[in-house]
Amino acid sequence: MASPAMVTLISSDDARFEVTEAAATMSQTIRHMIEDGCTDGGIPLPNVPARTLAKVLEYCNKHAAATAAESSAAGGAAAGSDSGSSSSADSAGKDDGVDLASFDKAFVEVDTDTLYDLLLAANYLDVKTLLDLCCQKVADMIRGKTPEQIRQTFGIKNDFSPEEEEKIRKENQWAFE
Amino acid sequence: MLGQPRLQDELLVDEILTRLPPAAAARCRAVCRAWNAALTSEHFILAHRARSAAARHPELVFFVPAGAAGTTTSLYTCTLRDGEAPCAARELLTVGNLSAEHAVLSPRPCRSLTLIFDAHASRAATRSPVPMRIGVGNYRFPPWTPFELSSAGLGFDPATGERKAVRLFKKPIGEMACEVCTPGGSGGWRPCAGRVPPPAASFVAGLPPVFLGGSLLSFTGADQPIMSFSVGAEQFGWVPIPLSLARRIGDLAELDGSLCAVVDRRINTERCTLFTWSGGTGTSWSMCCSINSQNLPRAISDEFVEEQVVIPLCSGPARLLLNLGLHEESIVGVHQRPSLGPPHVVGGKRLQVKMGVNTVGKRKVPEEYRDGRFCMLGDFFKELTNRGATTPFYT
Repeated sequence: MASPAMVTLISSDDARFEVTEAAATMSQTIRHMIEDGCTDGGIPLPNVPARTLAKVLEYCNKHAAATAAESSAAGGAAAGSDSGSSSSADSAGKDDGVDLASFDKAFVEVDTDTLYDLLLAANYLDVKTLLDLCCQKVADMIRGKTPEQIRQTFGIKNDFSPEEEEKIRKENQWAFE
Repeated sequence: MLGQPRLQDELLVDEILTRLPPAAAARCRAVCRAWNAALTSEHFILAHRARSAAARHPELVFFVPAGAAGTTTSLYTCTLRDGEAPCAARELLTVGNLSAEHAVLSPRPCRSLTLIFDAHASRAATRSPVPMRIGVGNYRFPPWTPFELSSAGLGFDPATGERKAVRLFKKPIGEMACEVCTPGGSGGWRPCAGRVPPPAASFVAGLPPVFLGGSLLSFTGADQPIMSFSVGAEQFGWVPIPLSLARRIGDLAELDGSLCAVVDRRINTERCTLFTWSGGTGTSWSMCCSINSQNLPRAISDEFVEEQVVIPLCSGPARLLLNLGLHEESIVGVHQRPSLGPPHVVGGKRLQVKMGVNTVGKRKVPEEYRDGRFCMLGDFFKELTNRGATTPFYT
């Protein structure tokens, strides 16, 4: 087979990224653009800045490569596993699975702003597994925190009156214990 | 983000907050008005339930008599993850003046509240009437001593955004009464708006009703139709059910969002069969699972004896969790592989629990053995997992 098909992605700040089609099409948004034949001269992604796109592509490259390695290792036996349909991190415990899981874990160990950027980009680009990863990370950040800490972390203003807040806390007393 | 301009609300609510465990979601209500509104919306509740169901990590609330005197009860919660050893049961709280012997938990939390009540408020054991309690230590209802067995359920009225506790009991003169109370409200108990149907045999089963689709559904005894009580309008009605099936029903439960009738024929045929209702106005009931106790592994079939009541808890693609018990209650995992038609059964004891002596406390009234030799939850789950991998059984 010839060298893999490549596509060019253009970030909002006009940086160009050359990636394999397999990696790019982890994004359903890009997949649809390719299917519609809108690839001439590169695919513009006006909502994603270069810094974020680079990070998203790091994720896609890693996962696309793992998926490819897995399906070639499995050979014809597991012909059913078309790319993207199964989250590769879940598939039967290989080194790859462990590797990917730790990659994912490290991947979202970033500051809150970067995490938001990734989350928004994953949503816009429709990369389901990355969106899940980012959302789970944010949820994990929320779950162990008190309401004050959540406000602080996410820059949310407390707009309750003291009485209202007291009432809600009282109603949900069990959750604070 | 709500109150934080960068994330759209739908991302925050649908994708992030729905991943929170219930307690964390309840805490988050105190963050700001927008979060409170989002977290109490019908939309969020349904989305959160859908995500938990998809993740198949049902959470059980169960309780344990704590004091030797038997007048305090500790509540625990435990998350069941398919095929994994469970996280340790987490203690929620201890309730004083509630005897686990007769205590009944509502089958499912209703908008994060679980109703705990004494179905047989003892007239002799305690001088003071045993109050009903709701939620996890949240609300206390006005004291009340029912004349006889009573049944109580918790429902939610989306129109008013209120939960309502509904109790059904027999008055001393034999009439049935139905009263409603809003948790946290100041009104106390009041008669329900609708007319209570005339009394029927074993009208009050004592079992908590199932809250589904805005109505509390109660089993009213063999040969009786299933009674529904719409929580919003407070009117009684009946669930359509073929007479042939109604005659055979043993218990009602909620199974994965559907009303499930347990038809227990273990005495005659060694079989216990679960039927689910399609909902709406149709009388469409279909069999979802039939368990033949003869084909169960020994460890389970010993638990699956006739005296024990079978209540389904939840099912995943490959597993059905059952709550077994009357005196000794345990939860059993039953594997079913839809492609095989009849379920194939694998499993071990899930949760060794003990029931009170009163049959009205059938549902999830476990007692954890204090003795370390028995039933550390983790061991049972491990046992189950091992069996699951090696021993297929077919009915």
